[in-house]
Amino acid sequence: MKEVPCSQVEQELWQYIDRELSAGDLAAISAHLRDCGRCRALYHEWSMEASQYRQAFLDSPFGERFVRKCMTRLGAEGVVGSPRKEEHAHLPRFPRIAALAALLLIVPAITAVVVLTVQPRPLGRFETKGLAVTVGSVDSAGKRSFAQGESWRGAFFAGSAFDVPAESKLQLRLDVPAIGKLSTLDVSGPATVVIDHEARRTDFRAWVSSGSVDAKVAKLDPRQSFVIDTPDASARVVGTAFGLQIRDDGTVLTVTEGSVRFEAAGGRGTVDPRDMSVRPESGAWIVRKGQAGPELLIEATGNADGGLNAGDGGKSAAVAAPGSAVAAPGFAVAAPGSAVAAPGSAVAAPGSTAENAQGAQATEPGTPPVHPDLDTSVQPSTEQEPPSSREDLDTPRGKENEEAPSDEEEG
Amino acid sequence: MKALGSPAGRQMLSEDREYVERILAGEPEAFEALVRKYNRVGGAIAFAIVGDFHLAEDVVQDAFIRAFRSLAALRDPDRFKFWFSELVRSRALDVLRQRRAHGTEELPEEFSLDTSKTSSVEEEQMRKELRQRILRAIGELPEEDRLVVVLKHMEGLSYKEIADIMNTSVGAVESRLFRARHALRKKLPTGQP
Repeated sequence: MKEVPCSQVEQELWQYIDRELSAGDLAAISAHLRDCGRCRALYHEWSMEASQYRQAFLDSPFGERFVRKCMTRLGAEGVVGSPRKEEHAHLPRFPRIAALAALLLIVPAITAVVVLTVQPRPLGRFETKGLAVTVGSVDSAGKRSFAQGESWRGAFFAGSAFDVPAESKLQLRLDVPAIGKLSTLDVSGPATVVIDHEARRTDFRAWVSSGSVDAKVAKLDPRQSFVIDTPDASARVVGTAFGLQIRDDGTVLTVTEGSVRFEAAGGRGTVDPRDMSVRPESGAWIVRKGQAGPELLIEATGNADGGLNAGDGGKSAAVAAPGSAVAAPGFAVAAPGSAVAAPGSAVAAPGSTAENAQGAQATEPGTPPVHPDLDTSVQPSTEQEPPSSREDLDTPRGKENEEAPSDEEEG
Repeated sequence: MKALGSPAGRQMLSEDREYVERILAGEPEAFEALVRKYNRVGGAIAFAIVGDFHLAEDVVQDAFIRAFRSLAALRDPDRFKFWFSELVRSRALDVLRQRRAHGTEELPEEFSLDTSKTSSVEEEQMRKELRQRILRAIGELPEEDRLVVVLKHMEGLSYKEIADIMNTSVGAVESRLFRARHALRKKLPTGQP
């Protein structure tokens, strides 16, 4: 790995924090930061700044809430169809006494919510390896937690944010005490991870900027949710094991347990690792053999369309958006716990054949940059039993952990 | 391997083009997909100009209505994103002009937060103070620098995406962002960007 001087690190530090450098340059700067206390301090300071700027916009009204509001207005003004019926429109009319009873139940519930929000509870525990840091005044009490060091652990809250540089790792363990189960999220840098400021243990949502994610999600009640957003996609999970790799060319979704129903701008369908099939409902997708489990690439700069090929009885199936066709230069196959780079090659994965690879159809590249919204609904796996306790999880720790911030220190 | 879906070599339409064509073909519901896809970018542009979330919401809604009504005039549906971005910018500037004409200050809401969703008074007060300081400092930047900062930190866009929206080069975005962050650091107290 090439060595970089302090002057170059300082010059490129914002690009490093913004993930605008090549993988090689990111790794070189990460290596420098590990050895240079002065540059590391600067990195921590600027990472904190970036986090604070992000949080300044946390109250942005845009997103799904805005979509509903906007479509309602468009409908009301007769521009687009009729406004969606509000949910309460479907509810039966309550007799007066029932409404009164409901009110009596709601008042203490509101009081309970207020009490709970005054005393925020951690969602779970985090642990970092490498340079990963918690940044910003991100917990729901507005208190900042900021750690410097090689390895840390502590509690995380709604709104917590983490900066995970290259070659560093972050593990989040989300407690779901109501069902006595635990979900885990392992993020490999370079990545920025922000826990949604409205996230709850049973309604978890986090945003991951880049890097790769391995998640093992406890089987939840259908009303509960576990959502990971990336710049290209949203993975909505009910109970499964899956991985996300966020790359320059898009987000790769890898599923090892549970069938995945995905929706994207270019189409929708189901990826099922149990019979290694991809069943399209609409749109078109390129499929090829992967290494371990179905893979779905949502391209960041192309269209989510292309030819679709079903798996033919091999060990896995993969879905890729066009432009990358089968294996564009630099194409990497993501699998939980491993990544196989196959630069310029057709396919370099066991269980795959060149014929399979060549069978995928390329489509027209060169369209304007788009970020397809993907809603990936993962059906509960019938086989999977998530770990039932923290002890079930492999949670390696560094020596420095003993002095790491604790729950108490984090508020 | 059996090929499903579209035939080989078929020229696939871009998704924006597909949405636009579906809308023009009498399927207005497809417009919701465009709203879902571009409301955040539109919101960032509007907020960078008007400096207020409530106003920005109105601006983006107005822009979507205008986009829908004049969709047939869009020559290249693949460029919907850029066309819509310009509609938002134009509408936001109109709103500023109207406010000036009515004797209101340019940023009457002090580049402000929506504080209506307080979860507790103490908590919100702490969050509000810090974020207002940051937003106020961002609001004092020149418009182009402000837009870069908002697109970067509110929307998390890459330099390339910001450059495309602003019709400028990646290098220009990078230098504006560097300059803007440097200015913000000077405006904000040490340790509290």
